[in-house]
Amino acid sequence: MKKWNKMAMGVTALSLMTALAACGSNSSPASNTASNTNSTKESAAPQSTTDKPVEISFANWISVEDGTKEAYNQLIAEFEKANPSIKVKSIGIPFAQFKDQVLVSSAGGNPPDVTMSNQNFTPAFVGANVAAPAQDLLNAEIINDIVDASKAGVTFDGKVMAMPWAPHPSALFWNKNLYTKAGLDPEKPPTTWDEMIQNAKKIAALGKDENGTPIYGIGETGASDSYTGNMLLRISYSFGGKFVDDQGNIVYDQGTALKESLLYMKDLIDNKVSPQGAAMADLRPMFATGALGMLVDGDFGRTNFRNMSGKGAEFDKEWGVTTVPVSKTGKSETFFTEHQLIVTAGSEKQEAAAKFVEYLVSKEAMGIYHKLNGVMSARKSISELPEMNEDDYSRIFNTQMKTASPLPSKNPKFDNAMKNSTDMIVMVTEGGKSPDEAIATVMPKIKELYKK
Amino acid sequence: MNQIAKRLLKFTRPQSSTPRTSELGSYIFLGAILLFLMFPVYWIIVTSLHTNADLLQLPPKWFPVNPDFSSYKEILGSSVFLTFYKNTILVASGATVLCIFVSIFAGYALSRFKFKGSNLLTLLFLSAQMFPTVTLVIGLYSQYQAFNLLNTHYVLILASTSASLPFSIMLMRTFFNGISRELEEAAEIDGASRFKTLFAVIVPLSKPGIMAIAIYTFLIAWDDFLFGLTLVSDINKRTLSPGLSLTYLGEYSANWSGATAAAAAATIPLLIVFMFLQRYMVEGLTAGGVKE
Repeated sequence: MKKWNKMAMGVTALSLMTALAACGSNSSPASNTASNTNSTKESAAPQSTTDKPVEISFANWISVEDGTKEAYNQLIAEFEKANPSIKVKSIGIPFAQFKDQVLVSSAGGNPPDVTMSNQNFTPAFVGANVAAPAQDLLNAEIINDIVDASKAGVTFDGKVMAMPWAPHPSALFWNKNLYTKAGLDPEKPPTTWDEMIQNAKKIAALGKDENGTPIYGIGETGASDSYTGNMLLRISYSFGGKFVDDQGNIVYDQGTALKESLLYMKDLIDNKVSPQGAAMADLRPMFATGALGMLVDGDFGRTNFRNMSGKGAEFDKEWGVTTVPVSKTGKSETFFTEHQLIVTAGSEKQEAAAKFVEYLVSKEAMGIYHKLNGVMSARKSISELPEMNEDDYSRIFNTQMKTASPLPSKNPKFDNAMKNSTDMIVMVTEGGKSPDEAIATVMPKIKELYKK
Repeated sequence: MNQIAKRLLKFTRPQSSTPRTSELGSYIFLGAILLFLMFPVYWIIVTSLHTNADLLQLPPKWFPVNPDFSSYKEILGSSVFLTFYKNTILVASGATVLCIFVSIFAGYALSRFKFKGSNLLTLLFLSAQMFPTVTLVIGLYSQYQAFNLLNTHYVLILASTSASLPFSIMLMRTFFNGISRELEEAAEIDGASRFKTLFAVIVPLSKPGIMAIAIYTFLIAWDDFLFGLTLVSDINKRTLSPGLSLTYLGEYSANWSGATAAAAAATIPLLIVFMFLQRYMVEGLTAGGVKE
């Protein structure tokens, strides 16, 4: 019986170990990461002397998405052809889980060598010491060639930590068919803010289409998500607003820009010129199916609208794109989001990783990516090339980029702040509050959030 | 059969007499709940039978007037989807077998042998289930990385087994507690060894419990998203849930028709498994609920 007791204890202990496998200490990953970081320089040196190709891992979300898969495959094939000593292993991660997954693998001591990023992920990667300073690894000529606004967005404590890859400024799309139906010139988009509102109201006056679907003049987001907060900030830029000053202090509620932005939203939604409580994911299909006269969206809009309309490139005839109309500041104000590239601090192959990043932002690679997906370059010398401005669509977005501002997302709380700021829209458009009351209620919470 | 299972089965039997008003009310209430629970399934199927352009029309189309099967054709012709499918079957089956094996031994030990700390051990088993999985991910990742198991099917089998073991062990322990010790003593007198007794006498009597564990573990492994997403990065080793998210839900747009068609197709094996084994699931889960 004693033997059986021992065996029973052994088996149950083994089972328990399996069940509690998760409870292992995570102190080792940190030390792993640290040791990886320390050994980086040493391990990078001998890699070029070996005959076996160096394999670098690239965490990304473009290799698996239908819209970008082809571009990815071509980029990797060209890179490997030009650099036979380096092989790229793709780590495809869904966009929605991307940040968390890169943080987990890095904390777990197994970071990718290169990771894609964007303006919202990079602060988290820098804060968690996932990112190695790009300026220490990449050619100085490339760093100096970054568009100023993009460079500002990736500079942390005076250091360029990520390489801007593809900026996505938002511009104004308009539906030519709805313009015609509303008695407007389909080839003449609005150039001023007032003209845009007038046009939107004329389109909304159409009421419903032949299927009974309501028609709206313009789509402004009103859902409770951080993207709606970004859009409210974009509107406030047009009224001369700012979220933070140069010292990082929140100045969103200073001046009249935020109040005017909320009044603009209230006017549109109360008069059914813009749908109530819509998210960007609702507005894009509405534009693609002819239920929306105008929409401010990024350069990826064309691909999305082609797919969503079910008409493919044929749908291009039904819409146009122009820079965001000029408002109080006298210039076309908007923001841009951006795909960025990061060589990780934990990579043991930083030399090869840097080479890969340099290739991805090169003229050759951007040529491929632009041709297949219409993306632009965050490098001054490349964005001005004729092949990057070959049609009106590219020219408009390259022009828009010159006046677009980066999102002030360096503070990791920015995303939450943007989400909180949408409460102001809800209060004004649905809660019967005045803009002043909404600002007085929400802004202290946002400031408190930044203090934590 | 215990009382709860009998009550559940009673609902499926035809009633000879006219139902009373209270019973009619119960049926209406249950019907409403059923409708509420089944609507997402209905919506997944309806969505999968529309093109993406149709899906984006307002107001939405509640019925597929002209069903479009192109999404199904696309996924059935997609080698990537079939790879996700194959990987999921492999992982779910592997986890099920491993979990049954371990929980029979552990459940038996906890039921039959009272050693020092056995109660504490039982409590520790349960505590493993109390942590939200997401909080365990970094620890799991580090541990599997140390064992060089990341990016393999083994790691997913182990992770899903870990997730379902605490409940499975407790279930088996409850089952074994309900089996008379006299049976084992009789087998011992007849000269059967402990292993022989366990596998020839105890395990056959525990079939409903084992089947319940099998279904439970299979479901956990089949539906797993977090482990599949975190512990495996090679697309050829991805399982269905992360694979679908990766393939159909993009940064700027989503292929809802494709995603729902894939989800509907992915559910078929589960439906088949559950259809044949649901009786055991009910029996197994309600075992020990009533004292005989």
